[in-house]
Amino acid sequence: MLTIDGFKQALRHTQTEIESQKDTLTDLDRAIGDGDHGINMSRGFEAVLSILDEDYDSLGALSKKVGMTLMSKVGGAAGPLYGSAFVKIAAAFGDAKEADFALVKEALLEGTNSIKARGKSEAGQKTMVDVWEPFALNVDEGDNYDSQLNELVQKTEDMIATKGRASYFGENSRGTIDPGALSSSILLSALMKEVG
Amino acid sequence: MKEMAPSVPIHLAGGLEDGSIGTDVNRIMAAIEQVNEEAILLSDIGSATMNAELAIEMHEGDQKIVFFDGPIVESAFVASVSSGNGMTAEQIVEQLQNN
Repeated sequence: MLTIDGFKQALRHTQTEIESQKDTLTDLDRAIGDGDHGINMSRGFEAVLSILDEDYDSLGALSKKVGMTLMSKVGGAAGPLYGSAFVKIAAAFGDAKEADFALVKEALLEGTNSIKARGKSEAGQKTMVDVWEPFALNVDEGDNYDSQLNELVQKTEDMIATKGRASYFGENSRGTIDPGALSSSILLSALMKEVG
Repeated sequence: MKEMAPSVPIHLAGGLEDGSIGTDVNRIMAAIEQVNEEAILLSDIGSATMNAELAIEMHEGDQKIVFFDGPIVESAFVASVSSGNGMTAEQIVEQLQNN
């Protein structure tokens, strides 16, 4: 069951993990992008950290605030993408103070749709969608969430990017995992840990 | 653009609050707020385009904002000169699309 405190804990955990993998995210993005993903995500989640001390009436209110914060603080493409996802997840959670597995899964599907719409992207284009969509569609309660997420991240290594900054690299984007896929797995892993 | 169309207001909304590279949807919305009646919103690539579309969706004012996704330097040049010549935002976008 995901509670408001659990959601906050997941976001704190995400921030810590983003910080510790900041250089990896930036290196991956330097290889097939513009090299700012680690810095942008770090700046975004640092800002998220600062809003977690406030009280929230519902999971929806917290998620919306996170989304708005990411939209304005991240700077790169991850801002509107993660930002829209959290805003859409907020709509799925609504006034609920806690969410069971089924509601979290539904919220993640809504988040996925929002990322796809905002980025005009589909699965298979070597983007964060390649983690969000298959995970949200296929995850079952009690699964080994981390191993599923890691597998999805690794799958992006062999893909050729056809969306986002990496698409300019064409065939040369193969052989590097997608940084947005990695940051997505960090977030989703932290979230699922709290859902249980 | 200032030389060719000095009377046309241009609001810049790129960069983050602290001056670093990127885009912030709030800065784009703040620029939209400064528009009197109508404006064309231009972006370059990546987050700028997504945040421009997001800002228009979130905008609640009466100003009419038309987004054009094209080469920013050329588009801004054509748009400012055409606007100075009295064309409406819609006419200008149509002209840009046909270029």
